[in-house]
Amino acid sequence: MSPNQIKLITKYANRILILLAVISLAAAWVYGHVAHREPVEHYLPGALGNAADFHLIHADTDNELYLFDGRDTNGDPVGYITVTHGRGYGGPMMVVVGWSLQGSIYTVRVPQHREDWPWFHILDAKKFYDQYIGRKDTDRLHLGRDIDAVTGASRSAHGVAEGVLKARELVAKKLGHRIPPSEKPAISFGAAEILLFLGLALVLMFRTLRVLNKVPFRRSLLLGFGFIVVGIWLQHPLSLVNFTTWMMGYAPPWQSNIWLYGLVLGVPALTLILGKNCYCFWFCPFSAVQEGAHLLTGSKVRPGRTCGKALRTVRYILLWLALFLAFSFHNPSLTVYEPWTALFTLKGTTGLWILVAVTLGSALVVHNFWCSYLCPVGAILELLLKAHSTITSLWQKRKR
Amino acid sequence: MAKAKALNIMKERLSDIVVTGLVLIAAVISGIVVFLKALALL
Repeated sequence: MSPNQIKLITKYANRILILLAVISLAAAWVYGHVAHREPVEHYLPGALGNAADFHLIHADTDNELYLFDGRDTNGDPVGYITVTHGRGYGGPMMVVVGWSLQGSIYTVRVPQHREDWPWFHILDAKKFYDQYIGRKDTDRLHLGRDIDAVTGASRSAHGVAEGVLKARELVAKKLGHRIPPSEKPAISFGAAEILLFLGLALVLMFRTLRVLNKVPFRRSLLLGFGFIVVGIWLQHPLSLVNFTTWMMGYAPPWQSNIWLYGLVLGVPALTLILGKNCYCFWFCPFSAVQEGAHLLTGSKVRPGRTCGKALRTVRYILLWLALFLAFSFHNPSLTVYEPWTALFTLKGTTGLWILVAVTLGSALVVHNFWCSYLCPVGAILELLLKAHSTITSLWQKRKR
Repeated sequence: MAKAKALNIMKERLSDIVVTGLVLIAAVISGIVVFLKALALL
C-alpha cells in the first residue's frame, strides 16, 4: 500500500470516528433527557415525621412543582410537602420541604442533586438547612440577607434557596397567605467581575496587537494574573462542567454569575472569532501552576512530533467518555475530573487528589503536562480553533 | 558524529516512553474518577 493510500484511509477513518463520536453523544443526550424522570412520590416519606399517607393536591409538571398533603394513620392531615427544583452548580436539584398546616417549615431536604459531594457536603456541615426550620411561608427568605449563604458552596446554596422560594409560593397560595413581594435577584457585579473582564481584555490585546509582542514576560504576567484572580480568588478556572451544564440546559442564573458567563461564553467566542486560544497558556491558572513547577526543574523531556501528536488525542477520548456518561446519566457533575477543582478549592475526592499529585509530579518533568495532553477544556477550544479554520477556508473559497 | 546521532535518537525514544507512560497513568486515573462517579449513581 502506498503512503498516499494510507493517508487517504487514515483521513476517512478519522472522519468516521468523529461522526460516530458525535452520533453517540447525541444519542446519549436524548436518552438522558428521556430516561431520567424521577418519580417525586419516592422522596416524600421523612419530610413530615408523622405522616403515613400522601395526597397530591397540586401538580405543575412543566415547571416541576408539586404540593402534597400528608396524613397520619387515622387519615387526619398533619401538614404539607412541596417538591420543587432549584439550579445548583451541576444542574437542577430537587428540594423537598415539609410544612406545618399553618405554613411553618419543618424540614428542608435535597434528595436528588448533581453537585459534587466534597462541596455539597458543606451545606450540611455548616447547618445551612437549619436556618429555614421554623420560618413561615409569610417570612422573608432572601438568601444573603435573611438566610446566610455558605462560602465554598454558594451555587448549591442558591439552588436550595430557589427551590424553597418556589415551595413557599405553593404553600402560601394553598393557605391563602400573602407572601412578601418577590425581590428581583440582585445583579452581582463587583471587583471579581471587573478583574476577570480586565484580564480577558488584556489577553485579547496581547494576542492581537503586534505592538505588544515585544513586551517582555507578557505571557508570564497574564498567567500570574489569571492564577491570582481565577485560581486563588474566584477558585474557578474554566471547567468542562461549565460547558456540560449549559449543554444540558441548566445554565445558572446570570444575575449572580456574570463572571462565569464571561468566562464560559467569552473564551469560546474569542477563540471562534479570532482563531486564537485566549485562555490556555495565557490565562489558565492551572497552566500557571504547571509552568511554575516546570521552571523548578527546567526538564527538557518532550515527546517526538509523531508521539506528541498521538498523545494529544488522549484528551479527546477523555472528553468523549466524560460527556457520554454525563449525558447518559443526565448529570453534568460526572465531568468534574480536572485536578484544579481540588487544587484551588482544597476540596476533592481521593481520586482527584491522586490525579493532582500525578499531574503536578508529571508537570515537573513534562512542560504543561495536563494542558498539552489531557485537558478537556483545551480539547474543546482546539475543536473551536479547527471550526474557525474550516469556516475561514470555506469563506475564502466562496469568495474566489 | 554517528554516536551523537544514535544518542539523540535514544534520548528521543526515552522521552517518548516517559511522556507516554505519564499520560497513560493520568488518563487512567481520570477515567477511574469519572467511572466511579457514574457507578455511584447506579
